[in-house]
Amino acid sequence: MSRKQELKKLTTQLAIWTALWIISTAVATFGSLLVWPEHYAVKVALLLINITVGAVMINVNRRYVLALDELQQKVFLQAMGITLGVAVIGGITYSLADITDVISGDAEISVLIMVLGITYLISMFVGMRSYR
Amino acid sequence: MKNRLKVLRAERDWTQADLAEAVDVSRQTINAIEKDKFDPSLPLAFKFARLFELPIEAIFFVDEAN
Repeated sequence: MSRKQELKKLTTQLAIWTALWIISTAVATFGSLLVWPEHYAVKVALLLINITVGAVMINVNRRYVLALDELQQKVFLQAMGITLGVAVIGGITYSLADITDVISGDAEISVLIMVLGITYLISMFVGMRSYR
Repeated sequence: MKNRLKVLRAERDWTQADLAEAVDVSRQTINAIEKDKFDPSLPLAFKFARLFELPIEAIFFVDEAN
């Protein structure tokens, strides 16, 4: 199988497992809050399903990165480096802003995840453009 | 590092996509190598050498001016 075919197959798999993980996260969150708030065993089972699906998604993502060619891997590595930096520095600054009451509300992990997603997308876009 | 990929490709009337498929990389990677924006790994350089039936140093060379 050529790299192109392999990437196409892995992209599809990654999309499926990402969708499954999002669904399992939503079910674990809203189901546990609204549908079965008293069922401890169900909540634990859903968390286990969520983490298992997440682990498969991580493995598919790992295989996807390995299937990229060397330039694509370089761009991906740079984007991940920037994203990791933003996660650590941005996350700690955001947390400090909460602790020191610089921001009015609580620091939310969802805000950080959104920032990381946007950082990664911009880094990939800029990286790919720089090699055009 | 400089290279003669574009010339060698043109001599054979190949597109970037043809060359990319022959050495199993993306077309963007071929474009970046041709424009001297990206230096290929040694295994990829060997693939080009095998494909064009030339020694690596006949395809890739150091730009003495820089």
